[in-house]
Amino acid sequence: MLERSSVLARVRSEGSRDGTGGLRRLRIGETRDWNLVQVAAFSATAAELEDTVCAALGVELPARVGDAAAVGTRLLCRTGAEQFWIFTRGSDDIAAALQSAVAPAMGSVTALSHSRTCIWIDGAHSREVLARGLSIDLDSDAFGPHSFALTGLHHTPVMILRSSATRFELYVLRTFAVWTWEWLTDAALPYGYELDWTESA
Amino acid sequence: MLRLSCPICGTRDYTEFHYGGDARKRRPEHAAADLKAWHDYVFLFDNVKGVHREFWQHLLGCRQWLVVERDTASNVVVSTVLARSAVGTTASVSPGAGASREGNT
Amino acid sequence: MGAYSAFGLLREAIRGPRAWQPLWERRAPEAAYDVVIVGGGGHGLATAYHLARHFGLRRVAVLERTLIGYGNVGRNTTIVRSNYLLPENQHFYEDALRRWRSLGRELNYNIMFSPRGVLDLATSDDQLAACARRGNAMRLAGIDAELLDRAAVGRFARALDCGAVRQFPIHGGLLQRRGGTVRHDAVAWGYARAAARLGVHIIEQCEVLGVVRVAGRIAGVETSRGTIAAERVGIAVAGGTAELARRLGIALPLETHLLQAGVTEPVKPMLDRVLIYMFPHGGEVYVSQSDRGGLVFGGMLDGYPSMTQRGEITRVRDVAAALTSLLPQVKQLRLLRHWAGMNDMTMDGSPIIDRIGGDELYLNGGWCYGGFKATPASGYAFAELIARGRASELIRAFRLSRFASGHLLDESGAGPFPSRQ
Repeated sequence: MLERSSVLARVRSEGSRDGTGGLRRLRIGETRDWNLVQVAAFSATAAELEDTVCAALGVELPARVGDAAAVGTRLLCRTGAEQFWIFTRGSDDIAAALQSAVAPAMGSVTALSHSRTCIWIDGAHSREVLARGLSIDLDSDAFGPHSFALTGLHHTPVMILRSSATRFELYVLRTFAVWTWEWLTDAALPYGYELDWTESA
Repeated sequence: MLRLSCPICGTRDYTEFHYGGDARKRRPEHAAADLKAWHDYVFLFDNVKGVHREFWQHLLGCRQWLVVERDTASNVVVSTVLARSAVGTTASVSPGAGASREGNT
Repeated sequence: MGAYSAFGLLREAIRGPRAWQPLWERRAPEAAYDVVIVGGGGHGLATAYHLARHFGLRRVAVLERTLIGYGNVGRNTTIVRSNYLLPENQHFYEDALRRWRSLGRELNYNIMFSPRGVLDLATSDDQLAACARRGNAMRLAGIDAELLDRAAVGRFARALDCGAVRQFPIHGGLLQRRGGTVRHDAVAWGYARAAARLGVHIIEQCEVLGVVRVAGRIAGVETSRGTIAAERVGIAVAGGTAELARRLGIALPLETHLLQAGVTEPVKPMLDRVLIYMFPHGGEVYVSQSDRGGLVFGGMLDGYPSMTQRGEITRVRDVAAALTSLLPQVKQLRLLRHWAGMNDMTMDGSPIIDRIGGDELYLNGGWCYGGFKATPASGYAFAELIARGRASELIRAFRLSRFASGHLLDESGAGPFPSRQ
């Protein structure tokens, strides 16, 4: 199997930066060991597709758009009226299994892992940094752990996922990954940050 | 800033959306030979100063097409519904301009 | 109200500022005129001036809804050029550019015409090829155009670091040396003063609400200050065209969009050219430095129809980002002001100058966001159309019926989508 390369390889030599007071209040890095599959139905086949996916994965799908459900290491997100994004870890690649279960007339299964880069930011000030470019409410009451949103960052499409109280993941198009990286590290400068490549092996 | 309430994703800045044209127009049938009808459809616009019924696509969100009623003089949004649920209630649901732009999927 | 001269300047300097007279008389409308021009912007004032100066019509009134200089004539980015691709546009805008050269003398008013060169920058080989094509078309029409490679761009525009790392690097450009800037307010004031000296009545705060018809023919206009009889009515109201046309029952291929511009705080001279920087997917900035020192810049439309005359801050940010990518040295400058103008966008990006329905009703509109540079040519041609009842060769392509007959003037090849023109 071909190995996916990181488009952020060329920024890996950049160093961490001190913020005000010489502190490094945030950690920023890339996560690589994940897979993403999009499953989408036609409006007339939505119920049938959901039954099929439930049966194939042995899970319940989240009920409302914007809801995410963690099942083991899998994360199932309802991203649209008849559309789901399913994240898995490591060798748990479910695209082939879903493709054989979902007939073309019922819907589509699209592997998106190769097209996205995941950049994460962790720390008490993450929300303030992200708020400099994202215009959605990231308050933990409105956007707690496992909340996600498809939104825009300076005209580029981005999925933001809150993976813990202090940590957010940005899934961005591979072609915009370096630009997003530059934006994020620039926005984080006042707080200072430590680069962390441990999840980017 | 203009904010639109996507029935699926919630209220977002207009920058996540793409304007898709007048939602009250009815496109002539493909085989229609009446050139005046085509001329009026393609070129003439009511260009309302007041409440305008128009298409928007939530390009950076769920990518659904919406029908929005917006006051062009004040940017106050009167209503927002999914274009698919507006079928039958509006003259036509056939978004025109710029349906092909890079989005989230 | 005499003519300005060096001697007069000296005399008034000694007598003190109170000796200066208003440029035009504030007056109430009279009951009847030969011609009423609706709209006291650059085009309307120029039309009235030429009607009186060259076509012998002296009973002319210009009706302005607000104040002279308040609309788009004072909201544009002052750039004048004739670097078009299509022959109809080339000849028309070239006529305008030639008139700009001599306009200051003709009006006896300093319009600060500055032919500092307009440089369109190409950000890809494709765009450079398109520049070459447009430049060749211009030269075939007898208009100056020079294709510059990257090194030549650097020599011509010293403020620009062509080798800097940019998301959209500079590959070269198309230069029109005779293009440049004109002080926009001075154009309004100069035309208004020159027209008033020829007996034209300039009536401010007089909104036109509709036309008066007698036996189906135009007989005057209804205004916020009463009915005014007129044999002929010319409309030149730019962003207000659609609204006025609806009141008159005329369907037009127009949609009204907002375009924003901004100016930085003033700094010492740093940019002696007009730069236009366009990149894929519609991003754009055009910039020049005013005599006061501020960098005047504009970009693209807000993206949806609006009559709010108040733009989106995100668009200001986009255009400012394009500007600082082009000229990183201006990053530290503060934005002094930004504002929006309403643009009557046509479905092919070209204007409409025509007689409507065989009546004595004339329309000059649909200038999209290119109206200012056309002002002197538009004023003369529109005056000629009103005076003679038929269009000259120069503006025949701008007829309204072109949309029905299929003779579109789609300079950018964008199709009938205003936000892409």
